[in-house]
Amino acid sequence: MTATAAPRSLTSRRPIYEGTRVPQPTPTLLVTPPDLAATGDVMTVNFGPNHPSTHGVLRLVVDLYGEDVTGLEAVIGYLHTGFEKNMEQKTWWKCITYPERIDYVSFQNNEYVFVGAVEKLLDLEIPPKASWMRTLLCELNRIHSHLVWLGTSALELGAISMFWYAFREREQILDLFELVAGYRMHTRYFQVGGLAEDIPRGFYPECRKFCDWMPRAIDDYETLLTRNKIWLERTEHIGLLSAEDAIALGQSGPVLRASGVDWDLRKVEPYLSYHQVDFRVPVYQDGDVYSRYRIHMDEMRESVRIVEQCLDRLEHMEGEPWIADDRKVVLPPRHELHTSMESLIHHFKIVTEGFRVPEGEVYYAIESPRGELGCYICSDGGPKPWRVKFRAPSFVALEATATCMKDALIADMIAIVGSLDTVMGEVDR
Amino acid sequence: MTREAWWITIPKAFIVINVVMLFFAFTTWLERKLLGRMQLRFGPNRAGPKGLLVPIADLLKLIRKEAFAPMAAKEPLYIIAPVLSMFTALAAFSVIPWGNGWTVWGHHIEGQVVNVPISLLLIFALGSIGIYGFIVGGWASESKYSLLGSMRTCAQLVSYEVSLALSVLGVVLMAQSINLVDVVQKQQATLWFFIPQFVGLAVFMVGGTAETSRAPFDLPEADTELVAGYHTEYSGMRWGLFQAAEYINLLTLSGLAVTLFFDGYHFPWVPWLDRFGPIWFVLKMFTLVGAFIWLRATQPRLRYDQLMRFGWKVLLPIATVNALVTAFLVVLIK
Amino acid sequence: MSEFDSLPGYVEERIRVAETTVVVEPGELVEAATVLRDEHGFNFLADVTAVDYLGWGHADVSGYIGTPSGRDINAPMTQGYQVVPLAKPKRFAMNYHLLSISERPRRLRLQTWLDEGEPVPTVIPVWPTADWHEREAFDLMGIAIDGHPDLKRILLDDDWDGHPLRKDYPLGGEPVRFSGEE
Repeated sequence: MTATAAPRSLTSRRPIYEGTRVPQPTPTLLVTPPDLAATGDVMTVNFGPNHPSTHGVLRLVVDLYGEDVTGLEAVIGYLHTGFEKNMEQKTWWKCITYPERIDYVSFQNNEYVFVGAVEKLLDLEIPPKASWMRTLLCELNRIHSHLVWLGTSALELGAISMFWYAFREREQILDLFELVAGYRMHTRYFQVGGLAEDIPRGFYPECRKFCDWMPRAIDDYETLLTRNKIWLERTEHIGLLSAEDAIALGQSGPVLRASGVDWDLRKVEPYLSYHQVDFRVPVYQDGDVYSRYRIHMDEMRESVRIVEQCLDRLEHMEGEPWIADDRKVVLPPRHELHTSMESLIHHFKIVTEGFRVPEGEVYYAIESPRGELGCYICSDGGPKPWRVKFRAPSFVALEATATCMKDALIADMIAIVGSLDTVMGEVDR
Repeated sequence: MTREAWWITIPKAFIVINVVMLFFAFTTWLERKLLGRMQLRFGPNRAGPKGLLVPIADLLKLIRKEAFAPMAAKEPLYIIAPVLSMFTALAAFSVIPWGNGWTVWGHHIEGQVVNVPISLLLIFALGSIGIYGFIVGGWASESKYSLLGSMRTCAQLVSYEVSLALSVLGVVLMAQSINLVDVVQKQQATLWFFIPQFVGLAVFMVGGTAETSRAPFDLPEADTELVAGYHTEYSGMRWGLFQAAEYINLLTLSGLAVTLFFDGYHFPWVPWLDRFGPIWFVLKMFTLVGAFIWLRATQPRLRYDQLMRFGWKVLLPIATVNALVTAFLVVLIK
Repeated sequence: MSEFDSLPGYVEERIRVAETTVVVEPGELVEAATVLRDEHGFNFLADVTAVDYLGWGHADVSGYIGTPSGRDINAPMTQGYQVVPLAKPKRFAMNYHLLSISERPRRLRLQTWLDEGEPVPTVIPVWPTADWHEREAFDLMGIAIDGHPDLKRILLDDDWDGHPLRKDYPLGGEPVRFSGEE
């Protein structure tokens, strides 16, 4: 990269490695050196799509020289379900259920990015209560996603018990989601214009209880892993990715921050209520699996802080509106349907035909637990999207596997793929 | 001490084999139950009271499953491998003493199946042969995962066997015998060897964890890397035999540790309780088994090169120095 | 005068919904991308999106329900437009969503227009992350990427027919395929 665009944190720091390690000419393909391949000692093994630690259906075609990984190709698409094509056939408000299922681990964030993109194109202002609640749920969802990551990645490195410890707290978060939306996952609680329903009574105290508990639970996890000698041996200096390569490969989120780039869309381009909350963006300099692990742990702590601040605000917003009052987009209140002809017509039109979104295209990006989650929508002015495209951070993260896999062993490969935190639903869409 | 009549040995062997098999079955139950409690779960609790019948249900399931083999598998070796592992695992248990010996109706019954003068060597020799089962099984499966798993088994078990053998050298020097019965009696006469031989015990336990390929040294069958290592292509009771061999090896190893370092079947300070030797032996043995299970719940898995480095560069020098120091002190005290 | 009108192949620049779009000629895309990266600081390629505008602005297209035989004007929910959108210059648009990871973070949409079968040069030399994004555009939209070192299908089977995100891809009635029979 050039000097004019030097990212701020890249200026004073020792490099993780010299030069670039991105393979040429194909950046996502690690090719076995021909002289090594000619010896006949290289064995090609197919890891996946059915393999215990491929996070679903990732397929890695790996060339092995003994235990060393010399060549690697990631093959994806086994979970391709054509979400984007499907969304073109649905009205805007029916589409909201789709993004959640793209990344089934961070569903609230995915739900929000689509709703947020539509609101941006509609130029719709949402009430503060909805904004704060969305912030809260997105952060709870971030903790949820990181917990799933922690549990599965630790399991892959042999720390089997972490899985259950992480899922204990995950269960509490899912209970909170159930309390709010009636569903544990794929809540579809965000509506264009705000929230689908008012926040139920009893949510705040339950959420407070969780916020009090969660930091202690994170202490527990860190006791088991952070200073564990074997854990350190397995994760330190593994899967190196320098800041320059990370940016060139489009990495974002924890992977980018673990490479020493202080970049978080919640700080850089604040959306929702993030400009009003106080939180720290953890950045680590080593660009290895251990740094990514530390980032996830720190982010969970910060997310708890954000949730607490959201609760402080929300507790004083009793009785405020939770959805914008725009009759062309938002369903009218239920009670009006019995008394107002106008409301009934609006309700009927929105439910059957759907609301219309002005012509135009918009790219809306948020910081999902996995990094920059972007949503490109293109509208022709009709009730259905013309084109929807998701910039899936997992999809991009997998592009870095070949670069990270330099000098790796089989066991490292598992650790590296785990540390990139991919959800195959999102990769294949 | 009178020798035991030959015809007593046969039913005794029969009983011991079955008891060991029973212990194996309930070790799996214990492992699941303990792991479950450590991991916020209940573990098996459906089949029988407290899930105690789960091993039986497992057995029935494994027997009824079709034991299919890959088309490319090297047929005779593929079938012999689990049998070999199982045989050596069971045979090794025969020389471990679990009782003081009793006289019933004028017949003397010894506290082990056979009392051979070189019993310690025999255990190690049988253990080495048992490794062939794992290696051959992985190789004969003609699967890449199995092959990788058996290569890892080969390297790991061979290198840790050296440290394991050296770690007990101190005990042998102190007991002046490689007969396990003598070792136990020497401890009874002096003191439990884990006190002077604490370094040896530590090396033995670490080496033993690796030798039985249990976490954090479970690389040969690292399920998240190699699917299941050398037994990827096995199913039904053939797989069950591998599993049984592994657990019986764990029991043998724990039994050996009890014998070498914790005074075998003796109850401390109360001599008349020694007639219940098998009870104390089993209790001590399962305490150690519990420690192995605890270790599995706590630690992540090592990487292959780290494992080899640890074995050759850390464990082996410690074991060697321990043996040398012990030898020096033994000579000095004499 | 705008900041970007000196780009190679510059066609137009527009700002809508607080987003800047710069349109360039496909032939000079790589040159424009290099200038944007090196001189304007857009060091991060967030996304590559291909859009098919076939039938854009036709009253029977908006919200049509597809059938195996094609579009059906008489199907429910085809009310057409309130405002007919402006026509597009060509059938396909390639959108490169750029981001500047620097002290002055900003975004830019680099756009180029393509006819059916018209190739677009690869931007892998500028941003290596474009690799899979371009393969996806090829796979789902059938954009011919010129100079891509490893251009093959990424999400669909290697022997898949057609490019599903195109507007003329038939909906419904997808034949169930059994490998081995064919």
